[in-house]
Amino acid sequence: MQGYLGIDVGSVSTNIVILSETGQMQHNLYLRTHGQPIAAIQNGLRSIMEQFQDLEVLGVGCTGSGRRLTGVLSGADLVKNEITAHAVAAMYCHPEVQTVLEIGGQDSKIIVIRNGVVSDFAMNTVCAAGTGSFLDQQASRLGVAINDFGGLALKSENPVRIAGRCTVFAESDMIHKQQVGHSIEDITAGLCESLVRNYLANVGKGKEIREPVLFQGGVAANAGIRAAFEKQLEVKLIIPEHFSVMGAIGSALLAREEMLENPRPSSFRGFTIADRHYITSSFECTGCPNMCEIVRLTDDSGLLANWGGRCGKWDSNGVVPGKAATAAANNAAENTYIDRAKSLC
Amino acid sequence: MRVGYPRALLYYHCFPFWKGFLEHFGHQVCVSGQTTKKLLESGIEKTVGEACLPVKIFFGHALALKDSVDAVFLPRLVSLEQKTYICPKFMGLPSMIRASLPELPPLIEVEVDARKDGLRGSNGLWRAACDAAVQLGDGSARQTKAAFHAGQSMQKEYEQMLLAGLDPNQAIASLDCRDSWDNRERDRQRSSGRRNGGKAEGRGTGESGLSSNMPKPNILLLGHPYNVHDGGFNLGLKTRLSGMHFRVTTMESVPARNALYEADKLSKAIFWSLGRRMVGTAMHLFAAEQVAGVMHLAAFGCGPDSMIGEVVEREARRLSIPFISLVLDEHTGEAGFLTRVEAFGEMLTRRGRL
Repeated sequence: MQGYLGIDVGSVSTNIVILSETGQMQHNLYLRTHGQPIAAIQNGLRSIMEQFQDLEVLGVGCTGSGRRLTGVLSGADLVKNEITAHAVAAMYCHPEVQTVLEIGGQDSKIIVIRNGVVSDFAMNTVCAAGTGSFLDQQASRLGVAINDFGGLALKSENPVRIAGRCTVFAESDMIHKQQVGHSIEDITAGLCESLVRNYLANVGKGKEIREPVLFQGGVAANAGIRAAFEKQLEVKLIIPEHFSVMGAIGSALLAREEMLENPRPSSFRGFTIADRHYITSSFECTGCPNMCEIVRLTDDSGLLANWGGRCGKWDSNGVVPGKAATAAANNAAENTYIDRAKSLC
Repeated sequence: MRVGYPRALLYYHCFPFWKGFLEHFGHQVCVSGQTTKKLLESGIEKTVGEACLPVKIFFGHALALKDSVDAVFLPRLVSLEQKTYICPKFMGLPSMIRASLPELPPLIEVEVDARKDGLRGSNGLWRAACDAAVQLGDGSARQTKAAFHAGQSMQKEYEQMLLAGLDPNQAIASLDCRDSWDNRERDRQRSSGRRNGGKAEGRGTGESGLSSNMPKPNILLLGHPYNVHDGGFNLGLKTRLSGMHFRVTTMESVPARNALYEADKLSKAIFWSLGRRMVGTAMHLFAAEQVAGVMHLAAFGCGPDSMIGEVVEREARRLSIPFISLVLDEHTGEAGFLTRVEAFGEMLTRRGRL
């Protein structure tokens, strides 16, 4: 079988999809990242390798906040930002889509699409209020499994009003409501409504939300949030079939587009990457007062890549720099390490 | 005397005037280096918490000059043009510096206030220049006048280079060469003409490499000059955009009179000098249909920027020109910032393909 791989490494989940040569969904995986993106990617690829032994990879696309690392690790043909990936996937599943709402683990976005092309977008900035990880946290605080959270919210008849501007305030407000004796159903429903209110006021501010509206990302699984969106926007939401892996679908589609436009053999490093041992380290470059933090990825065979510098001196993108540079890097890395060790004494 | 000039805030706007002025009196003008993380951190440490990032950067630059100069030149900017004002932080800047950085060498403080104009059309610079000459203990009225003209001609030369598309950092660097801009430009064109068979070469950072057949989409990078041209503040945004194959236009490349003509069409006049120019530049380029997208780069907590961004965004929306607002402070995460910049670039490229 021939196909395209799409990998989306987010803060909470790592998703991998296989699309056929024509772009049809063949297989999808939704894994928890658990703060270890490399392990998550390796687990995912291992399970794919076992299931599809005859898979010939025609192209690999990466996206998500871990896209840089994933790109180097897998030898991706294309590394793209999440917004483009989500928009491409949404348009592929529903060509007539005009608005995409996406809420993931740590970020949320809105994408406005007109005439088959992105015309505007917004993304939450430094604040992760109203994203999946906050819901996760509160669910566990209330002792509710996250999968039951949405269902509980739907049972509410009298949702309480919770301040959703900031999750710190939201949490203290929730505790207050809880101590007054409101039911868990009403509190969960109130939380869903405040989260949506916050999303529409911050991320969706000034955006024209026209139908059809697609709701995707992991949080789209939550029936309470879906209901709150439909109530506040007064529109019917469309939940795509594979709503939780849309980013990965988008990156696979982009990889396919890239490989069809510029035909070449894929630079995929093969499924054996699942069994290699990777080490990420970082050091502060001492070349200038910018003090960039350089991230370096190494495996059993040596240096894979450095990134993170502002001047591009360390950017090797998989090509091992000359011996002198490597030695300098090692020295710098060691010096920083020694300095840190000294300062700890 | 070695006079220090911090490479921050309105350095990008009016430094050449003061350079020409001070050098005419035989002073050596020393400019602090580029904004680096170290410099930024030293500034953040010394500045009051509520100041914006550009002011904190200014503090860093002032500190960097500490040991290498005899005096620090610090204009107190009140108003740059008739009937306009500038952010109140500029008015308070010398006082803030004096209060927070007692370790600095003596400050030369002069007030630039276009509303108290000594010489018509000088926008307060003549008064400031006289004041500076007195404080430096330099020369007669005649010498001051000659120095003033030297400053003005250097400023004019600088503005011409900006109009031609040169980056302010490059333009200021080239002011040091005695040769006038016109001669150099002619020489350059002649020699480049020989090199690549008479093919016109793009000028400035944004335009180099126009040789490919496809015209590059043009991004209007709007913001205060000290945000737009300081790579240490904006995480190298201009370089990144050029690397993504965009042409980057900034407000310096549109003549002020064209920008102000457009800005005056608004129902109410904008009274911030630079804000007025920003809005006018955007409207001028919108009318000429020369913009693929607008990026508004603002410092967190900047009052004028939040207002200007909104005015430009409404106009851009009306004409369906993509607009993005990027707000930066010292806590800005590079990853999220770059994702938005990349996505915006991608959006323009994909739109352009249709």
